[in-house]
Amino acid sequence: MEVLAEISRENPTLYGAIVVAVIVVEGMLLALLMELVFKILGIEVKEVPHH
Amino acid sequence: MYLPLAGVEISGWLLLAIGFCVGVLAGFFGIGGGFIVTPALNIFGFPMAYAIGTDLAQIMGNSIVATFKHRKLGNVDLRLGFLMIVGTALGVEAGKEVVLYLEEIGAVGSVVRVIYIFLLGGTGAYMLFDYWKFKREEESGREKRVVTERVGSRLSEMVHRINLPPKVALPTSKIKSISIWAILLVGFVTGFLAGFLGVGGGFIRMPAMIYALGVPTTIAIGTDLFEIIFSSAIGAFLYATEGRVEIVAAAVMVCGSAVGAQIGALGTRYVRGMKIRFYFALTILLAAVSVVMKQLAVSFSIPVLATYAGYLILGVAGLMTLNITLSTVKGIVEERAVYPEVKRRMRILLASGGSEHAVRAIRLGARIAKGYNAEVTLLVVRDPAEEIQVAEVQHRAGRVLKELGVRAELTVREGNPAKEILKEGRKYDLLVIGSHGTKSVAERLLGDNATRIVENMSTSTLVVKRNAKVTRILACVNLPRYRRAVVRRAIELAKILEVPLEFLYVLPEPLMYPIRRLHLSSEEIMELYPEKRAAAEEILALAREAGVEAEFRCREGIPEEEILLEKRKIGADLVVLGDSGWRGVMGELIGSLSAHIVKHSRVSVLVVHRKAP
Repeated sequence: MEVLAEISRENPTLYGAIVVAVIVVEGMLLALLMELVFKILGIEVKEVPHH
Repeated sequence: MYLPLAGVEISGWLLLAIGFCVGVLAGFFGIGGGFIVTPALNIFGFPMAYAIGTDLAQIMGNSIVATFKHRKLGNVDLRLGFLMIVGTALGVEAGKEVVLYLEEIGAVGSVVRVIYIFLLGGTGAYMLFDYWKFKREEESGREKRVVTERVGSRLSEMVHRINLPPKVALPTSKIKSISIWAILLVGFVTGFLAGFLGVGGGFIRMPAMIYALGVPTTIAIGTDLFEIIFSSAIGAFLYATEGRVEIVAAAVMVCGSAVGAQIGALGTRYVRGMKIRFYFALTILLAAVSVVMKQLAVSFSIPVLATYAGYLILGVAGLMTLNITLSTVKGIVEERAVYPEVKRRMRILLASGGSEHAVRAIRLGARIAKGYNAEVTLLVVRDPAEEIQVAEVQHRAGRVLKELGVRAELTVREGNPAKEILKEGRKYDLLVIGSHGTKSVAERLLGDNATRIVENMSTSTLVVKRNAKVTRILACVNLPRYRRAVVRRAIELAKILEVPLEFLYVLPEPLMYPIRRLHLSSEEIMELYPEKRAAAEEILALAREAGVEAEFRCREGIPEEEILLEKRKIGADLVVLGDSGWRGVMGELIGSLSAHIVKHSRVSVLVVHRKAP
């Protein structure tokens, strides 16, 4: 955490890019993980028609 | 954990809990949830700028997870989303300029807060009024009873009529044609308000898409979340470059919100569109109350009011999260209890042209849907060649559905009925159509609409003929690859309709019969073919297990003829059989057993497709 605080002070643009990259990757990985968990739990999610 | 940038000590579990709450709300309402997380973090010690920055990063991660889920549910209209992004970006910039101008003249704080209160309160009040009006119409027994969501509004109708090229079709949102300028304008206005108020704008965009563009609620939610990914990413980047984002806190919250977003998004399957709007209206109305409290705290110097405002919003978020989570869990549990083998609710399409036979079909379809606890959609196809009053059809169908206590969504299409039903029916597990039987010579030769649909449909189809009353079912188990599905479906139907069931196997007559037909009895056929007896015992055991009165009979001869003969003999008024599966040229040459039965039977026929759940 201290390292990240250091980066944010010394190179704010790099810190901004790190924040966005980390959260995007985390979000995508978590989305895939959740998909897997729900599949294991047997809660199937399929496209539903809309009206 | 200690967060060095904000200089705050905070429990990781607390961050996870906040993330979970906002995830549920985001997945369910299609909002970023900034108006919840920012005050929450602020209450737990984050300085305001850090609370906003960290919240934006959390919103980005949360929106990615929720958008993935909504995309899977078919709730994201990418075309609409990208167009809205363009309008929103321009609007945010314009909103920011106005804020800077107001800042110069020293009026920014109070103006922004007052507009915020009016916007939250006004949107919430309007949506609440809309819900109340809908409920009143529903209770008063008018034809709108048949729908569970009213798509579009007078405003959206006006917007759709804007004839300013270029125009674009949004099939996902069921919008045939809309001017790009209208989408850009709605994007611009919502973006302007978001930029002006300094918020993500999900709570403005979601209702704007519903009321101004006529987008269905669940698609408005999914598309809004898609857009929030981009707006929050820009916000998070800008705040991070100022060192105002606690990345670890945001990452922990995203973990909680990832779980929450799944539950929220799944909740949109179990809670109907109008109910979602009601919960949303309630949430933003209470958020407006909390902003009023904050304003009073500033105006009359009562700091404790600001704290209470924070607790109010946290309380609302907590209760709403609990409500949505319970509704989702209840939905899943009910679904499993009613139909344990299926992992999701069955979807039934009742297609209607408004005639007598169509209403009969709706009656039988609704009885079956009730038994399955299925999601029901009423499809009304308006044939330009015929005069069909959609309201009249809705009214008649609504009366039948109400009588049986079944709720249905409404879809209206225009065009050739058979083509439209084929197009729409593929998305469902069961299609129910009415048939007047073959009247003209051409229909006798080529088959009516129902025959054409059965021949080309890849979904199980129930063709309801003259009598919708079922007293006995005949299930034909000839086609081996459909046997399991036919047996299962027939037993389920017999159970739902509380009628006896007979299974029939027809020993096919060879084309080049070496000897004349043997005229064997059912018992003799089973003696000759022990595997048929074993199959019969297995099938009857399944029926017994389900508490259905059933028998098994064999006949010899041409299946098409024997099925119709047996049906007449036992007085069955519903025939269940598998789809023979031949399509195209082979179908034309060999013909389809199911199409033959549909064409020649005077009673209802259910053609089971192998893919049936």
